[in-house]
Amino acid sequence: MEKATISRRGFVKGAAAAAAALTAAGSVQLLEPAEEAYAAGSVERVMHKTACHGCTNCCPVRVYTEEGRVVKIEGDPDGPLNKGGICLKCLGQMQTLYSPRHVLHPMKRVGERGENKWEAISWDEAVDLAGEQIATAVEKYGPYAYWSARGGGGAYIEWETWGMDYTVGGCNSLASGACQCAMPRDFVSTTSVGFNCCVDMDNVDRFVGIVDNAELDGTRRDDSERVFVMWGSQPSASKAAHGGHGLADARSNLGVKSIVVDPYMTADAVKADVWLPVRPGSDTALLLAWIRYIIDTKAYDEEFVKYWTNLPFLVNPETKLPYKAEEVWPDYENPAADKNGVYDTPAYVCFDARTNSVQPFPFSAPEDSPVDPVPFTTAKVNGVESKTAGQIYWEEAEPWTLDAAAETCWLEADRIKEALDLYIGADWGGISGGVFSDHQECSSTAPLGMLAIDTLLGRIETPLSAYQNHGPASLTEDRPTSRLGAASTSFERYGLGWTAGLTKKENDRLLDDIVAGWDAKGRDGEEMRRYFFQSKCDTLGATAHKGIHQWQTCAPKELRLAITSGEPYRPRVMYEMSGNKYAVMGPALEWKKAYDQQDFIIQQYPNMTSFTVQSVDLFLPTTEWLEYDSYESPATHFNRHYARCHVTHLGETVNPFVSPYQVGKSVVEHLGAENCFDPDAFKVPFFESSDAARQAWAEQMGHASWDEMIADVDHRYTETPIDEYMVYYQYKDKVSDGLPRGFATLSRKVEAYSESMLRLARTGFPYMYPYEQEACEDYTPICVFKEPTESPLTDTEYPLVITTGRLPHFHHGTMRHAPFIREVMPVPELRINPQTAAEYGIEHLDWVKITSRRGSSHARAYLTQGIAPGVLITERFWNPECFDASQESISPGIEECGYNCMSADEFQNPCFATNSYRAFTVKIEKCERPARVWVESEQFQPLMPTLQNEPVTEEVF
Amino acid sequence: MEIQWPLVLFSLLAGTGGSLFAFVGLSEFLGGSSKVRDAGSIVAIALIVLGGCFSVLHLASPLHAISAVTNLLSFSGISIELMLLGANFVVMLAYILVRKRSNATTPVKVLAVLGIAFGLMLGFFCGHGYVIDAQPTWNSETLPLAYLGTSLACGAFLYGTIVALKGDEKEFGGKLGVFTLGAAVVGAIGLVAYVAFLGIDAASSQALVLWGGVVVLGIVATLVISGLGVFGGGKMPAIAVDVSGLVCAFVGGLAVRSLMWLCATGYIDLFSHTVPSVMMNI
Amino acid sequence: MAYGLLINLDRCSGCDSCIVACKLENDLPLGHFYNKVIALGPTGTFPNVEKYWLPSQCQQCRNPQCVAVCPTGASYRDEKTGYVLIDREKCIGCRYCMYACPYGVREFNEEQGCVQKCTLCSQITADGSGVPACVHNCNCGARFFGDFDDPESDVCKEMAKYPPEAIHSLPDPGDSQPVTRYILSPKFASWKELV
Repeated sequence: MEKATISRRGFVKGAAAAAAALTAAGSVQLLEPAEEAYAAGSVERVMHKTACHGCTNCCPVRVYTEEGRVVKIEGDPDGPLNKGGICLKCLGQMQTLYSPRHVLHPMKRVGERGENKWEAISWDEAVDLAGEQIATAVEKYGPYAYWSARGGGGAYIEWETWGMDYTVGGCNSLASGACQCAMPRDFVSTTSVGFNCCVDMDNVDRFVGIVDNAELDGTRRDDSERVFVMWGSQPSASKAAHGGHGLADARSNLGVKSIVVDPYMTADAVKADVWLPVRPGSDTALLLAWIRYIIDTKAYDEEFVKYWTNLPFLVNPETKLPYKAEEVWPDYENPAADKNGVYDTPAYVCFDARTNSVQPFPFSAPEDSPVDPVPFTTAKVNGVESKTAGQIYWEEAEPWTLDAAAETCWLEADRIKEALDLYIGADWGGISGGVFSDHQECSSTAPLGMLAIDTLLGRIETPLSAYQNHGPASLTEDRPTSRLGAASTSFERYGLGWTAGLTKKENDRLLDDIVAGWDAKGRDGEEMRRYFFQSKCDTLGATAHKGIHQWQTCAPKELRLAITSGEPYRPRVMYEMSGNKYAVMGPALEWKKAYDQQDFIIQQYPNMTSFTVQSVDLFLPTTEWLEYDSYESPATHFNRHYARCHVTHLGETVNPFVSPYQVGKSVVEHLGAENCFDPDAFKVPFFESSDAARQAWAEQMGHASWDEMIADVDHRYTETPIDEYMVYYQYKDKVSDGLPRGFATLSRKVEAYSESMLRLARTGFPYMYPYEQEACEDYTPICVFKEPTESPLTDTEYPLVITTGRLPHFHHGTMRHAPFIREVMPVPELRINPQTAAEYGIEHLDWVKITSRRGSSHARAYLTQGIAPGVLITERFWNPECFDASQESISPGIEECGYNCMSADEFQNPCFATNSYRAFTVKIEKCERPARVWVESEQFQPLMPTLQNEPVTEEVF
Repeated sequence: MEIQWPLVLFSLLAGTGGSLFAFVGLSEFLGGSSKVRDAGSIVAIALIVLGGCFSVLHLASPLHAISAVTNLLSFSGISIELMLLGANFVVMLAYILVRKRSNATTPVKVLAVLGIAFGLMLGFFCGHGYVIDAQPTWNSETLPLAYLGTSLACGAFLYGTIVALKGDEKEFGGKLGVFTLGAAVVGAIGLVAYVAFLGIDAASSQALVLWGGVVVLGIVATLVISGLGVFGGGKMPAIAVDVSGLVCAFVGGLAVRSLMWLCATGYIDLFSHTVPSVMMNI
Repeated sequence: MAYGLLINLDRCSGCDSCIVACKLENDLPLGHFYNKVIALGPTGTFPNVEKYWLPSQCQQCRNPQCVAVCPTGASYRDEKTGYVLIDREKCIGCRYCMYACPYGVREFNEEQGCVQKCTLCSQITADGSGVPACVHNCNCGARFFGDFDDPESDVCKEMAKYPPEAIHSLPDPGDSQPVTRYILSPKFASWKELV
């Protein structure tokens, strides 16, 4: 159980002569007099272990309570990655748990929206009201009237919203993340290398290279040169105790070198061996320049490119798809074909250097290959002049010389070359692609470019590579397979979707089994599948942006326009399961118009946000993470996956996986199960009670019960044996068919030329199989450069380009109500080059009004040489002080410092519907501090904790 | 740094009291009226008590002053000030009592000598405590010189004022004006020296205090007025000369002390940023 | 003994975690700090710039000026451990120590009427059971606590990994002999003397 110790702090804090106790004796060595005093008045201090939920990274922590009250949080020194370190977001939970803004009871709006007037109601009443509102809208307007919304990475609820959606048959779930976070990178990695590595999700493992280079003790095992590239990723800000600590260890203990590509001199750029301050929005030009340089200087890994990638495949110029051998030679017998017809290992077509001719190219180990494929060439196939995929890439990259890239990207050619030579010359390397591209039109093309670089260099499943499969499950016995995105569970439930690596026959068999399963339950399985398919076609924006299926979301802009225009239909009742959409989704003021048109908005969250005040009708209070049990985090610390274990519980807060269940149940009651599409859907990702949730998670962890799991305070995690955790070169191992394992892709090879992108646009493959979705314009299968729609090169009215990035102080829209964090970072800083600032008469710490074509925001100028003239960077923000009771008049705190009032959704990435939250153009002017915004430490007093004396309560459900 | 008014007033009032008493002491040797000595010593003791009260206001709680007294032997800057304050108080009180109760001249002369020494030391050491490495804009003996000089000028004009009210023209054998001028010159030298040490760039960041307080009033006006007292041929009434001189010298004294606080930078003032993570534009 | 902090600026990412960890551990109200993190730079001209962060707090001097000027003995250096501390019972709030500290890392607590500063979390560390909160929670493992006179201490062992030119202390105008050391390797940035 928990560990108890006598608390010195309890005495120290309780006694009036607090500091004197330490010093009155005149020496810190002489604590005895104090010890006597506190022994009399001591409070038992209990140590708990849990894991933080301040962001995605799930850092292990130790939490101390006295009489149930949390008195201290510190990092768990046993954490293999954070080693006791913890960032201020985690520490801030001390204040947000007991914050006056932490809501403890369900609340019903009683004033007008925006007035911030509420009435506390019971959970019974709240759940009933939510169910009634959803049911009424569905009855009146059909299932699409209901829609759900969720957060980005680190939110409690993400893709699980489908369970509520498909209970009634709704199909729109708005994610603040997904299109804007990791989903594009997930798609690229899953379809191109066969597993979701999200490119940077877990990259610290690779920084340290634990398997062959250094064990957890951080000792270097060899003298190989290791170079890590952080391309628009900021581990030291977004995962300070996790990736930041890992990087510090990698640099200091292991000599890992680094290259940072980022417009701003981030904390990681500060430590980088080479920093390339790329112009926001021009990254794909730089990626193409890297690709060109690697091909041009023949720096690529020839064997890897020839035998483990699809670059040597000849591509049909008409279909843009690689030829299959059978298309050219109908009688061709593929030696890699599975005799049992289960696994699919196609043979393609290449130009063979040995025979100087076009030849079939079956899958094999390199040494067994019948051909010596030429990756960069053109040949006649069936009389048609055809290029290899490599050749197509080369021609795309060919114009991007170092000088051309330097000009477009506002860099120095020599600096680009320095970075390239460092990276290419390293023994091991990897690129961590950050979230930057998920905020721009290049969300599909930039990850493809990064993939191409590491594919060319053979840096796949090698030390430091971001493309590294994990864990024993990756070491398959058979040809590896991959079923869609990991977060597309609803597709699987209703019998849609192609599994890469399986034959058509096997895919059909699996899907038919699912349909038959529904039939067996008394439903018409085929009708359900049809309905689901149609709903996915009807999902807003799904025709043009089919990449959204990856995380079963909808296209934000198309949803917004549907609500405001009513075309093609108007979603009317929203269940928001995250915090502050106004802060994290743009254009925020356009969104406000959409929310204003909602009949009813339910929000579940631990604390009130701008969204609550401005738009919510019914608020369901969910747990802060110190009140929360789960094992749901995707993030690990090396080979450990930590559980979150509640430490206290206040008021009537409810685990966020439980409240949707209760609402779902109420919806079904109101609507009648017979009128629901899938009246059990909500029961799949959500739980009836905390106990049910704990039991499910305990089982996932391999324990009989949650109590059994938490009995050992030092082992509240699961651990993958280190020798199975991250095995390099697993693609080379022989599997059951006698061939190397390869990759879980269509071709069993790394698909640097993304066949999946093309097939997705044309039919919705692989998600919609066996059906075909209406086609849209092809998505590009390779990295290409497109100047952002709004560009500082041509924009005279809005001449500056702005971007955003992370701070260690906040995760997305969180922690703006944590007073100790706000006092060190009270308002957003507009980082600006002094030369640019001088042009506008702006001095350090002046307030600046920033204006785009969508709207304005404000930030304080931070003059720095760490950014190029003409480029700006700032943070997303919102100001909970604006609706504090101490204000003369309130606002929801959206517009004062609302970066996303300025960002755009009118130009998107075609595949993933990614909005442009970065790299758009603005103009600036000096201004006054916006009304109501707090800047000085003492102003934050009303946000200081007030709930410390709340009793510890039992779970409601 | 913010101007610490209790400390400014303490040092100037106590210093002026000490200097005033030094003039009382001098008059024992150079000649002067008893009435002036009586009045001067009472005003002097009142000033150091008043100054002492101001110094206590600087502390978090006036009662804390007792702790400072009980730790007198720390020989910190404050304890030296306290010791001198006490020594002055004792000598002044003894001087008043001895003169009242006895006609013996030797004890009075001894007390007069002690009074001159302690009175001047008080003015000096009220500034000397600030001469520390951690404050580069204070770290010069020109600072206590300015403290002493301005106290001396105030003391001299104050003594002259008392003379004008209570005495006759034979004070200091008729040479009081010269001594006042001398005090004003010492004051001016102190001011010039400290400003020179600060550097005109740094000092003129506080333009009004420097040019108005220190230069125009503290140096020029003080010198001119004390010069009028000597070379003016008596055209200006002595009371007018001394009172106006006292006002100018006092303002000069306040000004230089304010300048000291306003120009304080700290050696490396790491906590001076209100927002911790704001960079230093170095 | 000379207990103090060693901060490895090669590792520090300026995340401000130490500030909040300190405030929570020492129950400091808004507006009060025992430590701050100051960004030095970027210096130079874009894009040829360098930068580091300087976490700042009491430097734990061997010959502290704050102690020399204290009129009551409230500021003192513990002979045995080297901790420089303030006895709040004795402090009269004269603030001379604040003027005399060359580094400006003390602050006045109006409410309690006394000067306060980093105590090396003596409530945790005095009995040798732990390290200061800023050290424990440092995100990047940049902070170390120990006895600079003991070659086996965490601080001495970390320093031993670096050449002398990478080890720095704040400039010392009056023979204060600060114990605190900073590691900054020239490959990341050149050490700025700040005076």
